[in-house]
Amino acid sequence: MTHDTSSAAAATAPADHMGIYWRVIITLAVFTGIEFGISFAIHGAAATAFMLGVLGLLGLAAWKAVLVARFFMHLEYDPGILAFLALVPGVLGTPLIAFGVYDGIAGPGF
Amino acid sequence: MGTAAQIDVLGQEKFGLKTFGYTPGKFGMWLFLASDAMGFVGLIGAYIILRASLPGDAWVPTTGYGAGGAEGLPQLAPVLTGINTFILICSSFTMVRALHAIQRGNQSGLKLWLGITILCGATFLGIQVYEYGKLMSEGLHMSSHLFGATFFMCTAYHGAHVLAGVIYMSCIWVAAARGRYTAESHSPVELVGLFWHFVDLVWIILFTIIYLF
Repeated sequence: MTHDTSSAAAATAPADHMGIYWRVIITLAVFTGIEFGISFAIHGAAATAFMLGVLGLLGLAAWKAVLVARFFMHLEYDPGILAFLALVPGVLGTPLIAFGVYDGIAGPGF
Repeated sequence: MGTAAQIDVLGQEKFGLKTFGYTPGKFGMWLFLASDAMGFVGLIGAYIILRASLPGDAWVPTTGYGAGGAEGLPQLAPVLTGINTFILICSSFTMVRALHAIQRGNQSGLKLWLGITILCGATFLGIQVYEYGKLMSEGLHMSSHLFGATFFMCTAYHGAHVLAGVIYMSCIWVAAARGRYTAESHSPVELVGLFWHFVDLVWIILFTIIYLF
């Protein structure tokens, strides 16, 4: 049963972001393809190339995550306290993981 | 119009209640997602730290494990999981289309796109179960090695979120089928969308870290 509502609803209809949604989904698909390419390229590569590849993969993943948060979760259009809430886990987690990785590499007694 | 107001049990839309400028439901969902993200930070952090401390073959040993006891641990299948990742990313797109439809009062569009989203989520879970079965038959278990323990914990914790999301969306779909949502009152659709996009966002990070290097 379809209820296409009145012209009053249409008058207050939110902005149409469908064009942006299409661009985001295409970008996400292309980035995923690039990630696969990098992943195969760094398989068995020298340490420096491997680390550069890993940084590239992490950068692409972070970019994809930001695209989802900004456009699909509407942070782009709902700025303010919600963006702050979204940043908290990253701000708290990144130094925690960085310290843990250093600890893991340096080993006991550093 | 009366129906829409009646189902707004918290009175968020009827009385215009706001928390920091947002409906309490939306603010509460973001608060929940931020706290839930900390759980993922802990699990992903543990995975990264343990992996950094076990470089090379030590992370996925090539001998001493496996079904026969002497083989290496099975390798993950990034191509199959890549397809699964694509399905989940597409489901985020169908979710925004569902919200887009009901924002314009199109209830048929809401049911169609939300139904496709549910189907994508269920497909993701099906492929994940298949992958688990294959890996377990090849000798990878939670108790096999640190790799097995962290792999299953991270992906299963995420999988539990996908399952919760599919159940959550199914409840919303049933309510949509009963004509509960209108262009003026559709907060639950927006909230389930936020949860689903969060699940997609986390998988984007997890997939890269676990499967691609």
